[in-house]
Amino acid sequence: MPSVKRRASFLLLLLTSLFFSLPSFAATTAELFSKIEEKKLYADIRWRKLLFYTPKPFSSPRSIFDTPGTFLSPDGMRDPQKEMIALAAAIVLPVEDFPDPEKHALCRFPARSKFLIKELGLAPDTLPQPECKLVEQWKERNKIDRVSLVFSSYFTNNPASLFGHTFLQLHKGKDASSGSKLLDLAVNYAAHPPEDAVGLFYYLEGAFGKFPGQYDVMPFYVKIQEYNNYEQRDLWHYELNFNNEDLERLIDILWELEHAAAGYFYFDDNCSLVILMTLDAAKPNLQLYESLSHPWIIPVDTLKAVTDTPGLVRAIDYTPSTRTKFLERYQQLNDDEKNLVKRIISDNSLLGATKDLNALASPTSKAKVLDTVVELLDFKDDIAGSDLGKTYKTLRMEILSQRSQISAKPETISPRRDDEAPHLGHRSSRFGLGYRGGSEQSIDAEWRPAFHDLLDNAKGFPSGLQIEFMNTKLRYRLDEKDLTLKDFTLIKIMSLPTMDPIIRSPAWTLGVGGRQDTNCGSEGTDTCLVHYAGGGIGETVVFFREHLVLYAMLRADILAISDGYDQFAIEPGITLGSIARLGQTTGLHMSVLPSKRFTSERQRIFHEAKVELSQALGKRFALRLDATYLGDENVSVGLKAQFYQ
Amino acid sequence: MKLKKLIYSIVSSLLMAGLLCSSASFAQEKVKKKKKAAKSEGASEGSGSYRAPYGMAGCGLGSIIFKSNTNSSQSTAVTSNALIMNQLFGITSGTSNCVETPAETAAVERQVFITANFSSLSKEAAQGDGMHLRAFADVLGCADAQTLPVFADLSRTNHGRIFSSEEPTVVLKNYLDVIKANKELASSCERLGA
Repeated sequence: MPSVKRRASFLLLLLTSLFFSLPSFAATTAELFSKIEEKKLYADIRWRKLLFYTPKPFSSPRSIFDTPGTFLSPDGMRDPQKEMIALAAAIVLPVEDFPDPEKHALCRFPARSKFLIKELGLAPDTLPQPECKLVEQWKERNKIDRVSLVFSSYFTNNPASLFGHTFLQLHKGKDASSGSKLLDLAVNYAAHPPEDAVGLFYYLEGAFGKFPGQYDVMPFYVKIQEYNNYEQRDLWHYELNFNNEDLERLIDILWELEHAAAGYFYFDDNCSLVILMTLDAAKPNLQLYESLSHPWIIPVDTLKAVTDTPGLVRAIDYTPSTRTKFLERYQQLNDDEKNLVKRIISDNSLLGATKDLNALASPTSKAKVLDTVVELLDFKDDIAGSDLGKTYKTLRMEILSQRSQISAKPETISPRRDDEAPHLGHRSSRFGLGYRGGSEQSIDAEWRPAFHDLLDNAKGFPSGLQIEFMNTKLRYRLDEKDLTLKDFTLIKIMSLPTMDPIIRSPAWTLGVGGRQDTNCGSEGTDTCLVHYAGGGIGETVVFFREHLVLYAMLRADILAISDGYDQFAIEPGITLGSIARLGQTTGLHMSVLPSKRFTSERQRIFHEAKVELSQALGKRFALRLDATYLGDENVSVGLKAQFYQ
Repeated sequence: MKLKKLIYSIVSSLLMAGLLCSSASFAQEKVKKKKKAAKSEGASEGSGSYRAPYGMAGCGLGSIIFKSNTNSSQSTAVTSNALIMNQLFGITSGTSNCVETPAETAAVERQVFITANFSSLSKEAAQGDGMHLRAFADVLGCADAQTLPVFADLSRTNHGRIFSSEEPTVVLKNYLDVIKANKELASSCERLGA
């Protein structure tokens, strides 16, 4: 072959191979859009979860977030397709267009971008490659290798705590931490009301969604100070079965949404729900939100959604509150040591106890007493953060000074009681159907949306705490064949502290509601509707390690009576009661409630007494038998079946 | 059924939304005393041996106390500069607003730790053990098997000298002085700062 031809064909071959080995063209928006449409990827449930969409009663599903910047499309909050298209268009934009590469969609929305890239099968080298330094540095610095859902538990003197609260614990890996949970990270979601929010408006604004909610990230030790030390609430850590990909996605989601605010703070958008939805978005096969069984969500319900999912919880850890630590230390003391503790506290000084302290059998014994006292006064003063005390500040300093001279280490305490684990509690709403015989033969139907009374199955609950919302009772009287709303309790709370008398807390109760009263009219025999609001305060006495609790309270109610005769009344009274528990499933509650009703016209004395026996049958059923005395003409016995949902 | 759900959620939310997780935010509270403490942190101490690193003055953390929020079931952590929590630990902001170098990050972490855990640390240092004491050792880089017992013992035997003040900043300075004066700890603890 002539050499010119050879060279020419070689050149042709070279040019051709060069043409085919040119770098692939960058992905175009047209290509992305057609792939998206082909797969209808915007309808994928995982995409909706990443956008935090929830079903709405009167409209199509919508995101709980509405802050500008949470979505690329102006309709992103309600249109998953538009948002996906906007994201696709944004991720192919050249990096040069962004003076700050962190503003590029691939850096701003790492979770959504990675979803799109993976599901569309896009090759990374066909896309822009901005340097997303901040998130990478954060991941590198913290090396998160596990995540737990943390639940802050109950405290008897704070009935609102009965609903609990959930937040996340991001555990740092071994290379980033020595393993102390204090140095892990807490991720909390909460409303951030403006500083001038006040009082009643605060409640109403909260109810109608005026406060933006937001994620906060902080060292875990802040939460320990807040919950364990300031609020006296134990922490239960439920470690989740998340793999590395899930953890990466979780961090990416928190990154995308760190400044996102959920503007609508309805009851069904509260913080525990957002945390639950965050878990759903991070781990694709989770359906925690769908598994919730009521439209209203109590934080402990979200915890149960997690623990009821097989294989999701790997391990359970526990961090005790100051109160729990004190009770445990106190139990470890002998009688002499206990008496010393009592004396030091009541004196608010070490002076009177010094001789006896130094006469104790060993320095270890003295250390135990001092450790117990300091725990008690930390509990009494709710010592947390930088606070060094109010009432007992000087005593605390003296105790620590003496303690530092003893080399004995503090006793180890392992106060965790697995049968009090909050996820074991019965479900939050309760239905009841029963028959009542005696002076008022009737069939009663009852519904209580939330939450727990003194006779419900005690497993997973603290003893002596009752909180009930919107307890509704309908009564169908068999003799008169009429159906009435017998009772509506807007709220009823009862707190019966069952601790050793060393911690003196009063027993108290509070109740607001309405009921059908049979003591109306001039003769006091008519039936009418009575609205009441009132409360009481008193004492409890505990026997047999809380198996028997006696309480006595002084009460007063304000009544609004609609019988055309009296208008208002004040009704002071006394309540004496006893609760005997045989294990967590059986309880007997006896009470007498004499009272005197004062109206503008006259006064009447009322007697009321009740004996109620409750037997739980597993976690979802219970039977109740009661005998009620409301006056000589009004004695009845009832049997009720209850179902928890 | 949907209408029922709506009614339930409205009525329930009137009652419960106010109680549930309304506020665990970090409120900014300009308390004069705390501001003073924050300022002194940025300036040199009299002895000149402890000087807050560059940039920290703007992130001064005088103290952290907790306040009950009577309107909700949560409390509020009140600092003299509300920004520090999310600036330091927030995912997007990192430490970029407060500090310039890793050494300063360590300084801020020491400061925040001792302030937030002050009461617990004072207790556990006197006891010679505890999870706060061990975590503080970790923050200072004194947490390995040989160093930790020395650290714990030194904390206990010097408790009076270290916790001679109610101001976390001063206590931190005392603590670091005591540690650096101990030959073994001065060489084995990794994050004591200058």
